[in-house]
Amino acid sequence: MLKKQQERSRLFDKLKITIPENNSLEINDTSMGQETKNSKPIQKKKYQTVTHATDSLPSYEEIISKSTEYKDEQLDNSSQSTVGLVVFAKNDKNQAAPSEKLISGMRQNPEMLNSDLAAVEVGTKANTENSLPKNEDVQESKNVFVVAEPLDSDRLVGIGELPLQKMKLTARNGAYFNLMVVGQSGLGKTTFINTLFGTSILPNIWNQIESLMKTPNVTFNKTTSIVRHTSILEEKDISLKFTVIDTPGFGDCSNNSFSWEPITNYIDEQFRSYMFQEEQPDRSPIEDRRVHCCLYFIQPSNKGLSTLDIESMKEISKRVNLIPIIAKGDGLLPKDLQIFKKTIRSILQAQNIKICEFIQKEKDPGCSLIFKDFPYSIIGSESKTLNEEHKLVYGRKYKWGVSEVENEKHCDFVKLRNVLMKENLVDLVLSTEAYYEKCRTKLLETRILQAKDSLINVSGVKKKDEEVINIGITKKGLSELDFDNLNSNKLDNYKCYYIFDKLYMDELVIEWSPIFIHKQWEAKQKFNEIVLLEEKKFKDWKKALFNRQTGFNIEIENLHKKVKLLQKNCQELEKNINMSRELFNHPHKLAMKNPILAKELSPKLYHN
Amino acid sequence: MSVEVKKEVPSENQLLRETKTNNSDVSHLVNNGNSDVLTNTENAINIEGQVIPPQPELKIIRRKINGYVGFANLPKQWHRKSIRRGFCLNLLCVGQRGLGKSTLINTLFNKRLYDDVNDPFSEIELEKDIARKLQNISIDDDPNGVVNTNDNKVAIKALSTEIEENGVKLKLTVIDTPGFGDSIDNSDSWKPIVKEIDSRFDQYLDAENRINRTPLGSREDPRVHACLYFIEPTVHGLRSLDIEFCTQVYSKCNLIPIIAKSDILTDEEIEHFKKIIMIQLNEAGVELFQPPIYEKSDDIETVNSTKNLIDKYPFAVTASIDLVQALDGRVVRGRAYPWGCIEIDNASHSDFIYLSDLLIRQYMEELREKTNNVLYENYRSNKLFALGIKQDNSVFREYDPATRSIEERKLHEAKLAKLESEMKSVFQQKVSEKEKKLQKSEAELFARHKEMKEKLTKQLKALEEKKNQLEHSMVNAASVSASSQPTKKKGFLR
Repeated sequence: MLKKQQERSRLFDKLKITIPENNSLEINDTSMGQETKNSKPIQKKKYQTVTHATDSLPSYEEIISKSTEYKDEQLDNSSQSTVGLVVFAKNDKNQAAPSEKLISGMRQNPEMLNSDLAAVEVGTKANTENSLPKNEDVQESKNVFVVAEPLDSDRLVGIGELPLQKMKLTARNGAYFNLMVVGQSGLGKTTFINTLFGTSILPNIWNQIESLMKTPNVTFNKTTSIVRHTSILEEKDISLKFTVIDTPGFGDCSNNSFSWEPITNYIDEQFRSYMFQEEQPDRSPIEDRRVHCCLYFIQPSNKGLSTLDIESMKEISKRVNLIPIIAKGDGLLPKDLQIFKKTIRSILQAQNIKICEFIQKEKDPGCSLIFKDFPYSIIGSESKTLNEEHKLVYGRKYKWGVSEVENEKHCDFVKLRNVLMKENLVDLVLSTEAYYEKCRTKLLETRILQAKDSLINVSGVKKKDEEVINIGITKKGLSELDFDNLNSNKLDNYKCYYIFDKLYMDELVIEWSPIFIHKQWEAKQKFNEIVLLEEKKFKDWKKALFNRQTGFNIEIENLHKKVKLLQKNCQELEKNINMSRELFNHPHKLAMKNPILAKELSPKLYHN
Repeated sequence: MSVEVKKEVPSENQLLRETKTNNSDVSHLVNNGNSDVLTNTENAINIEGQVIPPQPELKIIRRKINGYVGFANLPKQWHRKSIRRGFCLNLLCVGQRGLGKSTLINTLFNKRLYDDVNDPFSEIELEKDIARKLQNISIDDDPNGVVNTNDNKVAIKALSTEIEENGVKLKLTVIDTPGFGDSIDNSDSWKPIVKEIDSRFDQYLDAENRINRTPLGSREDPRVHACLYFIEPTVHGLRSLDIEFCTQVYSKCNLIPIIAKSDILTDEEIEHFKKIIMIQLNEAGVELFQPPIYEKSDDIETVNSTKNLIDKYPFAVTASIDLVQALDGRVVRGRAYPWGCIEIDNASHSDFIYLSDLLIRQYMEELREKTNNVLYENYRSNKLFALGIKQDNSVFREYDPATRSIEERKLHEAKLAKLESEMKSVFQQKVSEKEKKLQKSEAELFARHKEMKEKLTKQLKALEEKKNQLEHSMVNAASVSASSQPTKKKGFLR
């Protein structure tokens, strides 16, 4: 191995030396260094040398880093050894000679292709003496990358027609789009959707008015509810399955905390459902119900955003492409509107609320419209009126004029429609994938952690145990998983997924709901009060007991004292008796010792 | 009315450089004539004994829009998106040596992909091959009579490149299988190839199942999108090796058989040969990739041209990257024989143009779609079923969000109630424990107090008595003293 490395470094030296001699070749020294550095960790197995003939072709560093990455991955998961060989030929036909040389150089040194180390020397013949050890016994799956010039530059292979194929396919298959509308009632969500398609997809408020009279308003609903309307629309033979997710009751209560929760919950649930659908062995019935875009209707207040708006948008923007729009834009003067837009933009930025985060990251110039001058202000009207030019347009007729929906001077409706339908429908749908990945990763990790826990805590896996044993996925199977490197388990992770299935997760996930957590907190709070009350009771009891004890103690002490006193009295008495007895027997002694007592006793003594 | 169902599935970065792969979308299975594969999955469901639960009746409005909305522009959006992402094609070439595989690839993609250097059948490789065989022969001479099977080793070699035309990028990977059919015993020649197809599926599957999948757009697709099988122009029909290979492989990749070097066959021979081949393949139950025909939605021209294309199966191709002068003076790609010049791009001379239509110009996306939607899905479900994973069709159910939220609320309430009752019971237990403890200590206190009190009162009484007696005796002392005996006194003291 050491020898190989030496040889290799010699090769590199040679490479560097030969550069100045050949004017048509440029080698980027820094990237060469980078390459050496990158290949170090894997040099035991293989490395590659890249001959760089020109800088007019795809970025050198890019390819190097890519290929090194690729190799690292390969090392992880396969025993196949791969030899990467990148040869660049200069675009300019006059300069094609060097690449010819390269190829001839390789011809003379065929062993390189099959050996552990593949090196292409710049120039010719120079490395014949360095020919590297062969390794023919290993059957290799090679992946050689070739950059070759078209043989006949006028002839087209037909690659240019591929996007057309894609177009046809799309036209044939149609598309789907799930759009969510969020906003307080009366901001024109329904009207907007109906205006967007020029047809009533959502039930109009005027049609509902009778039923509303009978059963007074949704506003009394305590929480936000979710209503889904699906329609299949067709425009010029292109079909679109359009689902609009309405959120009546959002922000309509006196207490709007957690108003956004049913919304985010719905989004998460669709992600979860998609994940479970996706992992079924046969997933042909899969249906994408994930929310692709969320329109957030902002009240045209001219006073910035409410806390509810900010909190809700914050939560929504983490999960889905969020597009805030100013509802009822005809209520604001153009000047005020500009200020309002600016205020909203700065608030969103300050609160770190990202608008279509992943589309933004992609930096596709085709998506610039989304970010150009958001938030769009809109006017909604399902009915047509005559405007000043006596044309029938969608608009709102005031006494002083008509505000037209499709007039760019009046509002941004057309721009928004272009974003949603004409230009960026695909981007909105596809970028949802990135949000989904975030959610999926989190869920899968949870499930595998559950599996890990279940190994320690046997009660973790309740149901299914029998079945699990039947199909051979035992707990032993679970214990074989590598919980530190989850991706190394590959398909074995399915064992976890199978046990910790939708039912299990549904139950688990329900506990993640902020409302539930809040309720839990409330319940605990309430409970705490009871506990405190009870504790106080005990405290009082204890105190009473203590008081009693002290009382008892005093009593006992008193008794004790009495006893002590009596004892003392007794002793004294006894002593006296003894003394008097002694005195009686030997009075003089007593008199000597205690004349007073003797005197006292003497009448008695001498009484008889 | 089909609705597009998109699925972006990841794949391991298989090739050496960055290309945006168009990994696109799975749509409702387009019936590509591979009904066999479809029934397989259906069977799988039947075995599981599960039926997809009926969806709640959702009101779906169907409407044709008269005004302008803009989503009709969707295909154009995909146009833009697909150019941005780029395309990729992985082509598997299988055939015996000398059938012109390299030339065909070079001709198809107008590039010298296979040069002498990386052509597995270049002189150098041939020499090595011979050397290898010689080695094997020496092993074959082993006195133990062990037959060395090394000689039918089929190698797998992948070669990739990038082609750009009109700003559209295609990442092409050609997977070659040098050594196929070149041994004495070729009965297992197909095995390494099937293994390669599987391993490419596996790579994709692993990537799809990663916990952290690579983000959208940067995923690569290593799967084999089409397999070109080169048939020797013998006119005698397929050999058993050919049939064996085709039966092994057709359910795993889009199989496209071609008659190689068809310039040595006359028109009648080609026609005859084609018929025999199709009959043979049919008998063996082999299904070939067929471009889908949409009689309803496509215009008659497209339908007819597709039918025409299918009629040409298996394509009799001639390939050449050399430019020659045709009789009328045009410079064309072709092969100049003393008796004439065969034009590659002339539909009446060779089927090359049809092959190019099928592989690139017309149906490359269909090839990729079918690989993704049918072949890969089939492979994946079989693999998972084999692992013991069972289908759970209940997950496909669509819930009405309103009822769902009510259910959820109920569940929350139930959970809360449970939690509360749990807390209560724990609390109650603790309370009663504490109560008992206090009661006990209370009782103890009382008992001790009583005991002590009793003891003390007893003592007190005794002492009082004693005192009384003492006092009494004191009073008596004098009177008694004269007559009293000391013994009596002593006894009293005690």
